[in-house]
Amino acid sequence: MSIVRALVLAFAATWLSGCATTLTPAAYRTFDAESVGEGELDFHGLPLQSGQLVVSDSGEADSLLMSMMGEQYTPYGHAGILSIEAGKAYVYEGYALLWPSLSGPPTDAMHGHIRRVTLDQYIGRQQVTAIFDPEPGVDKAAVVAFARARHEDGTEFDPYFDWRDHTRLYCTEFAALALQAGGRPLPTPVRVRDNASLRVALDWLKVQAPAIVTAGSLTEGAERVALISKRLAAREVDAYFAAKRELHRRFTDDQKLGNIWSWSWRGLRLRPQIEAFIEASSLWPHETAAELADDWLGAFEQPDSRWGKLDTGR
Amino acid sequence: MSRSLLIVLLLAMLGGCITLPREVASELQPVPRDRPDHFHKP
Repeated sequence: MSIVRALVLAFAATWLSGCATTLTPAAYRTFDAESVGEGELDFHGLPLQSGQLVVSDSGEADSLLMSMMGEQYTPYGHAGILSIEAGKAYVYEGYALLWPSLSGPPTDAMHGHIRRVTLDQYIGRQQVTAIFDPEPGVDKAAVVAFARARHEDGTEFDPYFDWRDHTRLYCTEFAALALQAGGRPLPTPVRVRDNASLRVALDWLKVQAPAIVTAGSLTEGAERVALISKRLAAREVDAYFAAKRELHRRFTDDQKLGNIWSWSWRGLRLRPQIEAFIEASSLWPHETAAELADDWLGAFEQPDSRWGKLDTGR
Repeated sequence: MSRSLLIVLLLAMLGGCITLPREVASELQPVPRDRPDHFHKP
């Protein structure tokens, strides 16, 4: 996340935090309950319970980077723990903001802690949000108790994504430990892929952990009970994730970051061709992602041009 | 306009000055399409 974007978001978040946000399900293309079970709270028709896992994808360039970092693909880049308090739904999450710094990598300037936001606010900044019921046997009261305790003791966010040190927690590490408190075994961390280009960036960011806990590994064995997206229909969510999976498959160890991302004063950006491919993919069945990638990504006449037009070859 | 807003805008302007180290910036350049390591189908 760029400093500018982080500050704008920080300002917007501060401004909005004083307002009562109102979520309107009718404004969402997907707002689906996927479980017939009863919840502790009826959240606009979604049956929610404390201790459920919330995972999401913001649709931003840095979220795609999180999906691409590990050897195994993960559709979601962020995670938190749901908590129902006084009849209202909240999410506990590891979150940090980037503060201005005149030297050092952005990770040195990221500061945050385990915080609590309303589910409305959480959903509002994500492209896709999914809520999962942990596998049977997990004590959800213990899960949410862990989350609240880490919020209360002010546990700091870990900008270096180091799974080996639990004194500071990143988002999925926090969610994994919360689920463990409820009896779910810890997931096996996913190895950071052996991509030389990615390694250069991670070295600069001081991210030395050999493996990361992905949001995808937290959903294994869990039941999805709700899917929410303002912009995408449920079928388009599947196609969008398939497109990201295809990018992950193609981003082999010999690939450069520059084939997917660029850097501008606005921070990390997706290359226009990649953005266009993802956008187009959401219009097609998810089974066609690989074919679409052949057509769309194989047709760049000027891969380094911000203004290059796509030739679909049709 | 409140003082806090001015501070936020000033910090945002300073934030725009961030530059990447040369080696990282190089990795964020695309590979010309005629090179074998261009984004390909594995």
